[in-house]
Amino acid sequence: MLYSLKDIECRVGKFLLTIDSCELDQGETYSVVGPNGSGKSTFLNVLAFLLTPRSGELVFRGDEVNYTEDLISVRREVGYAMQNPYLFTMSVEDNIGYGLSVRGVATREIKRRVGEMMERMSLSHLAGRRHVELSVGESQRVALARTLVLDAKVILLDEPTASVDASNVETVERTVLELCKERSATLVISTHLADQAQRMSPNTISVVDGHVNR
Amino acid sequence: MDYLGDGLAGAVRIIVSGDADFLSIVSVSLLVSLTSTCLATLTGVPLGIAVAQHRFKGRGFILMILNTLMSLPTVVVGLMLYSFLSRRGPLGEMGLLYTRSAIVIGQWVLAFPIIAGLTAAAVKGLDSRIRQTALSLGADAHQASWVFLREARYGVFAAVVAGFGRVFAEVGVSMMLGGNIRAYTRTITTAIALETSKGEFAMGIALGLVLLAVALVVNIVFWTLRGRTE
Repeated sequence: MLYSLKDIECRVGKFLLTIDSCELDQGETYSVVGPNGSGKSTFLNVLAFLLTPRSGELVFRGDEVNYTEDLISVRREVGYAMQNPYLFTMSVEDNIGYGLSVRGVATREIKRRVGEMMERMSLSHLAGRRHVELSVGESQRVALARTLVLDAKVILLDEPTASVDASNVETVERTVLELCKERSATLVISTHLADQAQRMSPNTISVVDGHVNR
Repeated sequence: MDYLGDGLAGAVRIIVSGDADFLSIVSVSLLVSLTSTCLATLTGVPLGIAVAQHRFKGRGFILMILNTLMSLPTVVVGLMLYSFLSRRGPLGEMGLLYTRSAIVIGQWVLAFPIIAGLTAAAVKGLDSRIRQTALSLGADAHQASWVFLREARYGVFAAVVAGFGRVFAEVGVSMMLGGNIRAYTRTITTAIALETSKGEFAMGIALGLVLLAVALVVNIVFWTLRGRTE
């Protein structure tokens, strides 16, 4: 068991997310579906350890997460691409390599892995560009590459193709699925597109009015 | 019109020949203004970041004071500090009046609210997703704070440049606290006032050209940095 969530309540402003029971296994793929504003992003924020539930129990890799301690070690096991991503005022390469640099990976290794990921995501033509020179769709693909380059065993993607043009959606989906298979990583992908949810995974988690059903 | 033309020609001669008085005045101006700007940066930037990032009692009051002090007339600052530093004032025994240190203190009072206030505005205007993005990518608290500051860098640089522009062009503090002593506390602005009153337009214009050039550079840097933040 990778994640086990029980009786979780998490409040963001006036919004309340509740999870009665939800378990996720290592190496599996899950689609999180639900209408806009239902709580999909909040659910992914909980899985990424960016939100602290006000009650309930979250067990990750067999250990209950203690939110009073530093969460850096569990956060580093997760790669998370948020919806509406923010790119730092750096070059495309530096943005993609940011997660590796904060983990202390050597500069040469970062360069190699960033180059490989850019090629894989068909982003090589963006090399040397600054974040302001990218379209919204390109920014989203760069943010995705920034997450996928981390080699994390858990990959959380929040509406990863929302701004990506149709011609690149297939590349993104294929690359994500291939990488997860190669690394035996768990993939949790939120989408409001029913056909994308079906393409990415047979396992569906629905989020309706702030309630997560698995 | 002749005197204007003669003044301009004389000014060019002074600049080209590297007149000793001229160089002394420019170097004193740069020295005191850069020192006060550095001190105001060291104190104002942390305050600006703290005010922008944390909610605490008195935060609104601090912002109001900073905004008020930003437009404080330089002669008022000079007058207030003069009353403290003059022989009969509470700090009179320190003997700071009519020294470069006194000008630096006065200029710090002018630059500090500008640097702190503009830094606070720059940090406040940053995207709220920066910290969460850094944390989601595995940054620890310090690394997330660092990247946050890095994102604010152009706004902070612009604040520092604006602070320098304010003190380099001020005359009230330098005149009242420095005393316009030759080769010691005579700055560009006080020298211009003095030379013009003596009818020495050439030196006044030469110094004015330096002031204009520095103001131009400061403005170019300021607007370039602002443009980068947008």
